[in-house]
Formats: sequence, C-alpha cells, structure tokens
Amino acid sequence: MVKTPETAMLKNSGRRRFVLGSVLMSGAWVTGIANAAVLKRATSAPAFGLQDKDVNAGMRVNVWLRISPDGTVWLAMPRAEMGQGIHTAMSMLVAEELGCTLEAIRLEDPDIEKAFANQTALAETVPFLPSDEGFVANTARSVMRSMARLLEFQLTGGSTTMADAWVSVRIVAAATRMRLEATAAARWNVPAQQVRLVDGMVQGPDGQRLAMQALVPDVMHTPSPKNVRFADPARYRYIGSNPPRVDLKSKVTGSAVFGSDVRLPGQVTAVARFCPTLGGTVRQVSNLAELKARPGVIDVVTLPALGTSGGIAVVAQGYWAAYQASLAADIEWNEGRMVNLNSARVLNNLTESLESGPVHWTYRKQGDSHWAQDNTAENKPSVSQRYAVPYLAHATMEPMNATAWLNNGAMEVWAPTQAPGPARNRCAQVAGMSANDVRIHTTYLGGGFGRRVETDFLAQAVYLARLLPGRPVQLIWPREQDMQQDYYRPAAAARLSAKVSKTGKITHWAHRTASGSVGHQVYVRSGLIGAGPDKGTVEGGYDTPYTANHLRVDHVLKDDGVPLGYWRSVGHSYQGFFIESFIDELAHEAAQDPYLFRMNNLPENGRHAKALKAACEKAGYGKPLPAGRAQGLAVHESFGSVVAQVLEVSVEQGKIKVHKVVCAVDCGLVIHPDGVKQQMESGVAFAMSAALYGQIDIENGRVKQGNFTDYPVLKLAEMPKVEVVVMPSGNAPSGVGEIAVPPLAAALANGVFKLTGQRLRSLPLRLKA
Amino acid sequence: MKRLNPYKPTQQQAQDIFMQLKVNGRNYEIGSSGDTPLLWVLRDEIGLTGSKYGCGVGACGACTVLINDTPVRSCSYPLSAVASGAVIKTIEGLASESGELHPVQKAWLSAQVPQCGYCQSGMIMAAVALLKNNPKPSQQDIEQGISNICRCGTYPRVVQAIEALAGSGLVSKGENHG
Repeated sequence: MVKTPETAMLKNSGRRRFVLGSVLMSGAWVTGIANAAVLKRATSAPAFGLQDKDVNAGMRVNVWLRISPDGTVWLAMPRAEMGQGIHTAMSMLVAEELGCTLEAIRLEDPDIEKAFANQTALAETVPFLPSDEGFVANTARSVMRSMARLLEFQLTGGSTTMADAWVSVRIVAAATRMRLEATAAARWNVPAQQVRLVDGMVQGPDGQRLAMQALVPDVMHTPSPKNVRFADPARYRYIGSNPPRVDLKSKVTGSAVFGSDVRLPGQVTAVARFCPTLGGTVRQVSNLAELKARPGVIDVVTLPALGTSGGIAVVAQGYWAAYQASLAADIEWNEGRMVNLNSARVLNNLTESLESGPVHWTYRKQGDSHWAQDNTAENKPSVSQRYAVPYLAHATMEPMNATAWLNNGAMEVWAPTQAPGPARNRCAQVAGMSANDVRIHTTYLGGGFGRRVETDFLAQAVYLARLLPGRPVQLIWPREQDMQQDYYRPAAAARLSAKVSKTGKITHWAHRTASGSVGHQVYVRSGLIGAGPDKGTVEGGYDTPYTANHLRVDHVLKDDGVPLGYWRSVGHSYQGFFIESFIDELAHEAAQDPYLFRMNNLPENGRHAKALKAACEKAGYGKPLPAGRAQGLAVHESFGSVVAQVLEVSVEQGKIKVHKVVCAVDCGLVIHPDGVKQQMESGVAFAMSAALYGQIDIENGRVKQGNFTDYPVLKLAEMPKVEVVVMPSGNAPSGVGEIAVPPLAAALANGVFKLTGQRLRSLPLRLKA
Repeated sequence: MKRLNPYKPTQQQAQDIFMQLKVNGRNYEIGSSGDTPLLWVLRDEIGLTGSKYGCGVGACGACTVLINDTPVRSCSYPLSAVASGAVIKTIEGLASESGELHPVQKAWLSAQVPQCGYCQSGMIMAAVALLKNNPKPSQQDIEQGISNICRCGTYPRVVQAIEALAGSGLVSKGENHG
C-alpha cells in the first residue's frame, strides 16, 4: 500500500475514487517494477508513427521506461495520439515525476502488456453514480480494473488517459526516481533523503553530481520504495506549463506517419467497397475476370462481414488502380435483414416508445419516483417536452485504413487504432494465429472520436494479408465507404417532465430516454452478451446535478439493428442537449433568467455553479450585446469534468451564426493548459458540426450521405472565437478530450430561443422560415 | 437482386502518359494513366505521403498542393491536366534544403495549430498560397481563402497563425522558400 501526502490531499478533495484506484494498483505496480519486464517483439520490423528507433539502446528499467547511455528516456506510449495532445501531456507527467527534462523523453510504440491496460476506462463503465463511493460501487470498479488487466485492455477512449496515467505511469516514474536517488545515495554513502534527481542529474548533499543514466546498471539491484513520494506540486516544473507539443513539428512538415502513410517493401494497396445495405454481403461479382485483367490489379477478394457489411477488396498497385476497379465491379448483393430500415421511422418509433415503453432499466429514482405516471392534477408537470437527435457519422479526416503483413509466421499490423489490445485479439482470431504472433504498431491517428476503438478495418487488412502471405497489404476505405460503414452515434429521443415550485425550485423530475445501446452492441461484437444496464445511454442524465426531491431517470431500449458506436462524448452528446434545453424551458416557464434559474437549482458552491458563474462573468452575461445578438448558456459534467459554455449567437439571413464561445472548464489538476484550451476549441467545432449539420439518414437500409458534400461539417468561416477559463482545482486530473461537446448544442439552441422565440428541440437545429 | 452499378465508369481507362514532373525542385519520370489524380502520383509513385487523402472529391482540401503557386486539390486533379514544366510544391518541399522551416510552418508552431494533424499539410499549403497571393489578408480574406476542412477544430489557430504573418512580408511570390 502506498500512502502519501498526495493521496491524502486527494482524499480530502472528495474524489476518493482516484485514491482507491491508486492504492489498489500501486501495490502491484511497485512490485512489478522490481522485475524489469522486457518487451517482446514479433520481429524487428520498424514501428511507425512514434519515434521508435533502436529497441536495444540503453537499459530497460521497467515496462514503461528505458534509459539510454546518452540520457534519452524512452517512454513506452501505449496511448494513441489522435489530436488530443496526450503524447505531450504524458511525457510532461513522466518528466515531472522522474526528474528528467522533457527534451530527454522519446516515445516508443510498445507491445501489448497487462501493465498498459486502461483500467480507468473499464472502471468508468459501471452503472453507479460517479459520486457513489459505497462498497458495492467501489468493488465493481476494482473488479473492472482487474478485468482490464486480464483482458489486456490497451485502449485510448472515454477521456480516461490522464486519469489513468495519474494512478499508473505517474507512480512508476516517481518510484523510478526514488530508486535512482537511492542508488546514488548508496554509492555516495549518504542518506537517500539528501539526494535529489533534477533534470536528469542526481545531486548529492556535498555537491556530488551524476547523470541519471550512469546509475542505470546499478538501479536494477535497488529495491522499489515502500512509499512513493511524488513531486511537490509547489515546485512543479512541467505540470501546468505550456511546452510545445511533442508531435507538432512532424505535423507541420508532413513527416508524421498516419496509418495510410505506412510504406513497406513490396506493399500493395487494397480498396474496399462494401454492401451499401447495412449488414449485407456479396452474393457474387459477375465481372471478376474483367476486373482482374485491369492494369495494376492483383486480386479481387470477397470480404466477409468483418465490420458492418461484407464487400469486396480490390488489391492493386496503388490506390487509383484499386479504387477504379472497385467502382467497376458488378456486384450482386445479399442485402440482408436491414433492407426495410428507414431512419425517419426509427426516430418516430423512438419517440412513440417514450410513451409505450417498455422501460429497460431505471437508472435512478428517489422520493415519489412514479409521480409523472400519476395523472392527478396535483402531479401535473409544469413542463413536459420531447427532444430528439439523429444518427451521426464520425467522419474522421483520415478514412479507415490498416496495413497488415504476414511475415515469417508473424502477423504485423500497422494501424491508426485507439484499441491495440482488443485489436490484437481480433486480428489473431481472423488470422487463425496466437495473439503472441500478432504485433500491432500504432501510428498517428487522423482523428479518432471513438470510431477507431472498433477493430473492423484491422480485421479486414489481416484477412487480406493472410491471402497474400509475404506481401504487406494496405487497406484503404474511400471516404464514401467510411461514411456508409460506420458505427453510428445512436439516434435518441427523450421526454423530460418537471415541476417547479413558486420559488423556482425543481421539485419533481422525470427523464426518459429511448435509444439503442452502444455498450450492448460492443459486447456482442466482442463475442459476449449484450444485456443489463448500459449507463452510456443515459450518462449525464442519471447523474444530473439538478436537485429534485422526486426523481426518476429511465431508459427504453430499442435496438433497430443499425450499427452503433462510441462517438465523442457518447451518451453525453445527446443528454447534454436534452437536459440543458429543458432546463432553459423550465426557466422560461418560471419567468426566471436562465442563469439565475440554474444557480437556484444547482448544488450551491458546487463545481457546476462555480464553472457557470465563471463562464458568465467572462462572457459579460447580461450586459448589453451588439444588436441582433443573444447569449445562450449550458453547463454539463462528463468524464469527471464540468464545462460551462456561454455562446453569443445571431441569425443572419435565416442562418445561425455563433460569434463567441466562452468555456469555463473544471477538469481537476491541469497538466497542459494550452492542451486543455485546444480541446475546448476542438469540442466546440465538433459539436457545432453536429448541432448545425450532422445527420445520417438511412433509407431501405442504406446510408444516404457519403461525403463532406452531403454530410457538411463546420468550416473556418463559421468558427467562433473561443475563450477558455480554467477553474482552479485540487482534484486529480479528469477527462478533457470530449467534455466540451455535450453542452454546446443546448447553449446554441438556448441562444436561438432567446433571439427568435423558436424553441428547437431536435438536432440538427433548423429554424422555421 | 441485381442492381445497376451507379459508379461504373462509362469510358475505357485513360491511356498511360509518360511525363517528367517537377516536384519540390526535383524531377521525376512518371508513367501513369492520365486520369490518375496527382495526389496518388505523389503518394504512391513518388512516395511523398505528406499530402493526404480525405474525400477524393476536392471538398476537404487535405490534399492541397501548389502548382505554379496556385493551390490545387490534388485528389481531383488528373495527371493529364498537369502542364509540362509545371512547378509542383508539396508540404515536404516547404522547408529549406538545410531544414529551416518555412515562415508559415514556423507560425504554425508558434500558434501550436495542429491537433490530429491529418488535414494540416493541406491547410498549410492553402495558407502559403493565400499569403503569396495576398500578403496582407484581412480576417474576411482568410475566411474566404481557407475552405479546407478540419474535424479537430484548429480553425481559430489557423487564423491566428496567418494573421501573425499578414503584412510581415515573409511570404510572397518571390520568397526564397517558394
């Protein structure tokens, strides 16, 4: 057990979950450090994307760290860089706790290890209130943590990387520093407490100085400390500072290697064309001979439905030859069971099921939780409204792709993946090989947003590589395939009802959502059973900060078979819109200012109220605005963090325009403030695309949209100014990458209402003429 | 049920053409079908992977390169349309031979523009073109001149980086890096 002043500090801050995690984990961690693990590698083939060079340089101190004679600290980087700046933030954290310079750190792409499992990501899926620190909730979380290790759940998602690193690599880095200090102390024969490792130099009490790397051979004989001492927050050198991001030089010179930039000797390109009807497969290709005779074409392969649909892959020399042949294929499809599915009908059904049920799960109830079903005049809600959102595509800038090579009995895969752990198992299964013979190399990701948690595109590349042994095959999906073979953000509908007292206090609250379950589908895709509660459907709703004595939050499960996936902020992406729109309606009904109404109903002096106050102060809320403009606001907690937004909007020639977004963000301790600012800008742009344009339509089982021409996203000219206020916090770091998305659509709709009197209750927002 | 193939090209494949391409100051002998978009010649034949495939229809701009200082969406620009002797510049050719970054790249780093980075090669090339043709763009000029798509929302910093160079005289038609 590791007890430190730092953990005590965190305990007092009221976020004991992190403390529990660290206590449970660090025992295993510290013992793990004593046995320096050596990474096994399938072959010596180069890893791309990261600065992986000579894996033998220097000495491995533990599974995370290797130190070279020149002082380079090689940090294993099991988390994917998809724009969120995590390579920088994790490097900063390690430099801080290890006591080396940030410049000394280089990243390497490691194999799959239990130690690299994202335990926080799995622990966060338990259907308990985030504030529930009871025995059952905490036991469930710790079981999930163990599961994550067992399953080698190496994954980047759920905005969990920094929260997880805080209780994993941070402890390792600090313990390594202490071992280096103890090693030097033994050499100099001085007490270890008098030795300090600073900027890669170990300094003794009598002016002794020694470069850290000189101690590495001896450090192997130095046991791990029983109590880990973390860096003193008052003397943080990197945490809270703004060094340049470590990945940006390669991204301004074009040298950063994304998945489709992998180039291997003898590599060929495969272009996929899938059955346009979701879930369909190929019956036959009638002009195979003609296709194969085309210049540059090597093979035409029928792909089983390893992802959403089956299809063909044309293997050729280069993309263009393969793509042209894929278009020229005459394919007869087995359209499958989705052929009658229409998204407009799905949305109608969802809305109807808000009345008809059945309720699949009640996620929260208190007081008279049946009040809304009770039709007495006394229990008539002050306001009851319905809201709806459509299916959405991820539309990452880099379409799905992966490169696989069956090379001397090993399957090597290079891919922009958020989930190398699960992907390795999937690839092994498709290849009919042992997971030990599969190596996943993670490149940079041209956007992730949850799409790259899925393993379909890797499985397809492996399927092709198995048919073409010895040849690296790079599978690329054209944009249209990417958009039409997605795992979509679920369409969802909700009905919210509430009663408000004369003083403007919410006394009764009933919130019912109808949607499919991403969690269930992901479990089924993983070969498990999808059943039981999926808090992802109601997250942000069942844990609403608004207090009411009589409260019920439940969910009607309707799986229409449309493939669903995690989409930046998942359930929060619609619950933020539902709840914060509804709150505005309640304020209007109560004839109160939306800000004052929220402050009246949020926990006093809580994180939500403080963030909202800070955002409104920064935005000059309530002060006169230029003519034709109005402010809309919203506040939402997700992934352990709170974001309040104030939007300044106008309507020009029937078009909604956002001029300015002020974000106040409470995400615990901030490692990299400029990274947080970037993610606020990022979430605003992403959420604005969804609020103004995002809509996937399905007709007869086919997705209608196919490219940015019919699935428009926000352009530079539409981007508002974004101002960020970072709230001071004594809490451990919480999520950042997704948190700016949930409140935006509601704040926008609330601003539009103030301006035009039109209450828009479905996305994308469309003004009536 | 058999469905008509809406994509099937109606014409026979274009003839192969052989030409010399001048890219980033180097000459390459190219033999490709004339309908091959310049993007795939750069990525698959020459091996310059900095320019990206994003949409294939000229909508997103991730493939933007310069031909004679004019920004071109190379995913939709067939090889047969490249004039003989045309000077092609990609993201890889922006920095000097000695590795000194182009002023736009430097501005990009000072403003810490990229996130995932996938659209940034095209975004930077579009900014170079904008500044070459309009050394002091107004905010409105920037909004009209940069239509590239970024899903990460780097737009405010793109504007910030370009504004930092507006009127600096560091990027012009005759600039050394150009």
